[in-house]
Amino acid sequence: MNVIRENLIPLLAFGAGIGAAKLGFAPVERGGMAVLCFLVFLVGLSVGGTPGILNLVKKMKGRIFLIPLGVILGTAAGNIIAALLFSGMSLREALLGGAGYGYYSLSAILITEQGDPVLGAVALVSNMMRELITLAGAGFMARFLTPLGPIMAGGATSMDVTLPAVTRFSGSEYAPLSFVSGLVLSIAVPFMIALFNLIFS
Amino acid sequence: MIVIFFLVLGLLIGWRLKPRGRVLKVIHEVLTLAIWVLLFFMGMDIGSDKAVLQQWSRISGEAVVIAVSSLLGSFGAGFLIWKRVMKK
Repeated sequence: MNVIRENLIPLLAFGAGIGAAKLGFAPVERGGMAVLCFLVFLVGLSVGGTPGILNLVKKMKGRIFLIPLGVILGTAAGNIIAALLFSGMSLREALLGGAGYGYYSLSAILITEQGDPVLGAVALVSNMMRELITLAGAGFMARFLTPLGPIMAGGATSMDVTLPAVTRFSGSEYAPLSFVSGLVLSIAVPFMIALFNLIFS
Repeated sequence: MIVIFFLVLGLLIGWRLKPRGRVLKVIHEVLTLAIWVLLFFMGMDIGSDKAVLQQWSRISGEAVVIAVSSLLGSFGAGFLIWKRVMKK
């Protein structure tokens, strides 16, 4: 049931938007941006109030940040190699497309609002794929790619959507790691997109 | 950037007020709803953009390449962290 709620309804909402535009409804000027500000505010409220996170960070003496840092650097490295292999794709497109770490709604709207709806659509689809592949392949990843596998794959989603999969296949002792990694990455998304925009502007 | 401002504002208020129980549940429900509204707006943006619709095959192709390369790179980093840090 949750899988439907988390994956099918977002797709339907997106499709309904395309349909509405096709029927001639004009997009609301800056409407997406207003909703987005409200959305990240809510994310902040929810994350800021989570108890015990500071303790966990202290216990791991900061080593816990290696995991989200690894996702950021690993994703960027993969994207750079992909851009070098596929001549049709620029470095900017590859890095911005990857910088959602699975957080498709946030990354896609940020890129779209900055005036690149085509790349926004790429980001939307690629980050949805990242989430879906993680959900579908978590068992395989935990087995063959170390227990960190599903956490690395889940990226920003490993704090909520893919957390149950991590807990089940990597083991519940990895759930706190997964949560903190996803949290750091969720907060990192707007910063990384701003950074890549700055580099390639 | 204004988005980052709202994110930090939420973090600070959340940290001060520590919402939990029913309040947190309501926040999560509204969050889910906000994501749907956001995607609806995105659909409108994209649906009214002829460039996106014309380039759909290129968009989906690039999305696959980016998703797969992101995952492989992340696995590589995960492997390094596992071997060098976690196992010790």
